[in-house]
Amino acid sequence: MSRVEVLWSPTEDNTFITYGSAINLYQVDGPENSHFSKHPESSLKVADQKYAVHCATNSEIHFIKCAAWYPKPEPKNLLAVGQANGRVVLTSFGDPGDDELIGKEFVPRHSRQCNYLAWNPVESNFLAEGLEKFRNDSCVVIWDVNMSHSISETSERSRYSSSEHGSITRPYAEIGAQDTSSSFAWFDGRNFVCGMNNRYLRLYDLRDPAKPRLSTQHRTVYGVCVDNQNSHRLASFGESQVAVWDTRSFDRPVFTLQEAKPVSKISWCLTRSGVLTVMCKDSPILRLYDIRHAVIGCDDIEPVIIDRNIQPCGEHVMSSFAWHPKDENRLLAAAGPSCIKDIVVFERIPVAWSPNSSLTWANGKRTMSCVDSGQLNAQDISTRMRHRALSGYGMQCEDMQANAIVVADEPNLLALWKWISLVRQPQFQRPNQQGKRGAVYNMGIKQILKFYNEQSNPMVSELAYVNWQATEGVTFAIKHQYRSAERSLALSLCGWVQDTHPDFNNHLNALVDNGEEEKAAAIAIFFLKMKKALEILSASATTDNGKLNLNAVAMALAGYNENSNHLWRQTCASQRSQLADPYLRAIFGFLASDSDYYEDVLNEEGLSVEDRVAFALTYLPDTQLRDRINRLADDLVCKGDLDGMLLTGMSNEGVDLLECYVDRTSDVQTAAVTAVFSGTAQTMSDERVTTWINSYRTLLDQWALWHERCKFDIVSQSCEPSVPHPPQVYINCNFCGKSITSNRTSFRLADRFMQLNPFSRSPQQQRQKITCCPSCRKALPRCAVCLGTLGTASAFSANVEQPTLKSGQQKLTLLQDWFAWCQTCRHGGHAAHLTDWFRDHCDCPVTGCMCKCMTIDSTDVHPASS
Amino acid sequence: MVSVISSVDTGHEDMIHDAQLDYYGTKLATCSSDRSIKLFDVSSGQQVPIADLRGHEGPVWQLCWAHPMYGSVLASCGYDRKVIIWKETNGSWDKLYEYSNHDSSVNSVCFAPHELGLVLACGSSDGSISVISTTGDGNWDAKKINNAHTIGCNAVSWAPSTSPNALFDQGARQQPAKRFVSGGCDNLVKIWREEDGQWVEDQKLEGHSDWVRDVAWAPSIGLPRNVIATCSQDCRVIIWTNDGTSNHWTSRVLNKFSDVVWHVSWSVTGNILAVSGGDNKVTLWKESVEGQWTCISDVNKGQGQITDQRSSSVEPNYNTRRRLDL
Repeated sequence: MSRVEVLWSPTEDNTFITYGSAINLYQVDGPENSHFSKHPESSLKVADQKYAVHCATNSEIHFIKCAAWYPKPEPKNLLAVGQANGRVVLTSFGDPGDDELIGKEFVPRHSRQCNYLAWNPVESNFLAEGLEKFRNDSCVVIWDVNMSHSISETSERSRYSSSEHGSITRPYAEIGAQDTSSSFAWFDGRNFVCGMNNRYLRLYDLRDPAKPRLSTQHRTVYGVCVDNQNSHRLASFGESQVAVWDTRSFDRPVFTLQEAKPVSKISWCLTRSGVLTVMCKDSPILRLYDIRHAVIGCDDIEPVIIDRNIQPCGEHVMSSFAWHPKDENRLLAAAGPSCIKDIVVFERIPVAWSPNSSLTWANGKRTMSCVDSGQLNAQDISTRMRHRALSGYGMQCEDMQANAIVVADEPNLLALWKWISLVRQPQFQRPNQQGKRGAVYNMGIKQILKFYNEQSNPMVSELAYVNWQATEGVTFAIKHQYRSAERSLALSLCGWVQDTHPDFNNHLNALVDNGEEEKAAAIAIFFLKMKKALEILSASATTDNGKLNLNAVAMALAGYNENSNHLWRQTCASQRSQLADPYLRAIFGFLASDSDYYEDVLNEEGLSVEDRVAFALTYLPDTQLRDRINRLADDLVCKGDLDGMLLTGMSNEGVDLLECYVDRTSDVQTAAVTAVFSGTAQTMSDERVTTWINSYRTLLDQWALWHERCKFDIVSQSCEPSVPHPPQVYINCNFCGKSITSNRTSFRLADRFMQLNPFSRSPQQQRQKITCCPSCRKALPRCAVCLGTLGTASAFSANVEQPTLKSGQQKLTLLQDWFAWCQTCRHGGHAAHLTDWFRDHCDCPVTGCMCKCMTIDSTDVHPASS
Repeated sequence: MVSVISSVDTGHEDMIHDAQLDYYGTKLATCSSDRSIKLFDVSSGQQVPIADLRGHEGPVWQLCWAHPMYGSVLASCGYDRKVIIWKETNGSWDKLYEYSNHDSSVNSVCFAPHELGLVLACGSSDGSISVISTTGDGNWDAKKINNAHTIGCNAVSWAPSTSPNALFDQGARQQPAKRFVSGGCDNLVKIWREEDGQWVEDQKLEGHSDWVRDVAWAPSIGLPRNVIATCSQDCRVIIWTNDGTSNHWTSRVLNKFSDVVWHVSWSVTGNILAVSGGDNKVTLWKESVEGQWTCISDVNKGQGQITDQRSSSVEPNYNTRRRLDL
């Protein structure tokens, strides 16, 4: 495979050339280009979705040794090409046009190999050429390409026969007589460095080319290049050694790097400081050295070098590479004429999460943000929790079902909310022991049935013999049911209404209205109301709702026969599992079961937990019932299934269940809310519960949902008044430093004011009295807006002796008169006045205060619901 | 799906090494090889420059915001062996404290959970880790763990505080455990615990076969278990878990990537792990209910696009890095 060199255009972002035996011009196309699929054969695939389209070929020049791209955009694609005989040709692609530069030729005195060409990037008329040694001739020749050949065409023309017309033979400057030059680099305008005579690195200034400004003797004279981010820093190589130099101490290299193989090319990354790329002979690997060298004070820290190998062309041996002059970290790598890759070498990508689940990351010198939406949002519990909080989830303690409506699309939570609201009915309240607490809403089935405290009077149930209520003239065997006060209570917690209750039929009708005919029929059957069940099924069969033909089910039911050997029961037992609806399966399972053996119903997983438990409550004797419920509860606790809260209630086991649920789902919100709504003093002191509540409060804080956080605190306070929330702010008097809020003397003071003004009944007047510090009697600060002295009776509402909010509420001052202030500048005033002020302003109302109070902790990004 | 909504030029003159959002996600801090730290207000959805902090004399590697209860406080660390704590007062940013007691580049800084006070851990290339704390009276105290990782420490991350706050505290609860995790050039992940005022090695987790590049202790919301994500030059991300009661840690390889993995970070609730690596991708990972880690999204930052498959055109590999002695 012939050797191929690559060069990026210095001015066009997506243009490059390859040269070897001919020069080819390519244009890189991204995937956005429409003709992506119909690239001609000559195009190269340079990246996953990028093609380099072959634009032109220049094959007029033979024996190409090196090429350099003119640094200015005009004339377009102008190249200087150095040939094996030392001749330099300026050329381009296609029609040369009328630009006078194109076609110019520069010829050294004696023909010898050209080693390099380098345009001065600033004064682009200067072109440096490096040559092999020839007698007394100079090895570095600087051409001025603007020099017209008429000037050079004087006596020189006759001395050196130039066959072609237009050749320029007189250089602008010549350096290094009797030497050979192997490498060259311009820097800082007219300065340049070159490797000479296989021994020397020399720095010159073009204004004084007679002698080098600096010179050093070292073997590494090849490929000298200047870090364009730091022009003091040079690199060069020789054999398998790479040396990095600092021009400020040029006598020896800053350090050297030893490679395993001879080096063939080195280059600094053009867009990043201190990244040196080294290519070795016969190697598929490019090695990137990230040199981190900082001079701090006067002592040098040893340079840290992080090396990284990249293999852009797979196993192919690298032939050449070129860093893109402008695009960060973009590298063109060539392993042959048809194997060229356009890659971007990435570095560490820092990523930052924002609390609302958006990602920000940095890429090179830029930052990019990315917001997750759709699929990710729906999946992630944290965005769901945030959404729920904004919809008022867990903050509505008057109507529990309002919370359930928020999460109506999450079926696993519905049973929980049904339990939370049902358990608030008065029949589930236990007598209040401490006398201090309000109601406790923690009852689960297991508490009602007294399963938790084993010793104290266990439940005793009585056996009841119940007859079927079928059509006239038909009688079936009597069924055994169990009844007790506890069982009745538990049944109603399951949402069932007993058949003895006057609302029984209404309950079934409600289920039918709700579209749950199967469930209604099943409950009717379980209570041995065959006739009612048949009515329900036949009635619903007339309404065509696309369900299974319930008429057929009614027909099958009507044929019920108790004889265990009868064909009906055998068919029923074998065909039951074909039914799609779990309640229909349960109906036939119940009918087909042998007396008092109901495993088919109890193990019917399709039935909701409450229905299975309710069935067990009706038909299982005490010991079996206990066994069954304990097993079911253990299972649900292990799975963290919230349906199990019905069984455990807010007991220690219930906390275990919530723990498993949180472990499984991370839904700390539901756990915290459940704990607040149903907690007892005992569970509230459980470390897990406090952790959930605090985690949830912290989350609300972090989302800047201040209002929701306050509402949650209020809800948890009102649900659990026995656990006092300490105030989160204190107001101290500016003069005496004593608190003016929680100071007990203030109560007495207030009382005294009341006593002093026995005729003043207006609370308005009373509030206005307290405008001074209760302990030192100095005036309180003034409102920044109305300039009236602050001071309201709001503090007295937090009466410790009457902790319930209800009694406190009567004394609460209107919010608009409350103290409010900026936590940063500490200026403030009446809440209403400040609200008005900040509606139009974002800076502090106090003259001379530069505080932008409104923008601090602004919730603009996370608009709160209120 | 994931979409890139903005791409903004920060004005840094060199590589950005870290980007951090503050507690509320309203301020973004970036730091770069150009020795500067830039702050942006991102609350409006735009990046509005606020400040340009200059004080480091070399590339700045990493940043960390303190909890807002301490005000607007930012820590930075850099190649110049310095750790600087910056604080905003009345809109202007100043150095609050400068710590320069490391012998080599400081690679990582991390503020402890706010319950522990204003405490900062710093990991350095000199192999040591410093824990700096203040009592708030302007005095700073530093404790140093010497030789924490031979060759150097690359990353530190604090364990979330599991202590309930004073609101429900019934007293008689023990002091919250102070723990953090570190990763280093000795391919090890270590957990450190404070015992009687001294920092001792609590765990040594072996699993990576090359330099550990980043460590991240997952935030916990009510979960007793501890989860740590680590990533390494060996192209792997490992998830370490501990049930919160025993001293036993189990490891699970999240994925073996095609290139070095530089960075791991957890979402605020610890549900999603973002991984960025040399393969140009930011990938998001989530643990299923069954405990399997799955990639839920793949962001190709190069083009700002989303791709479903991994790029195969570039197959770089890494050799061991070295520090040269003169």
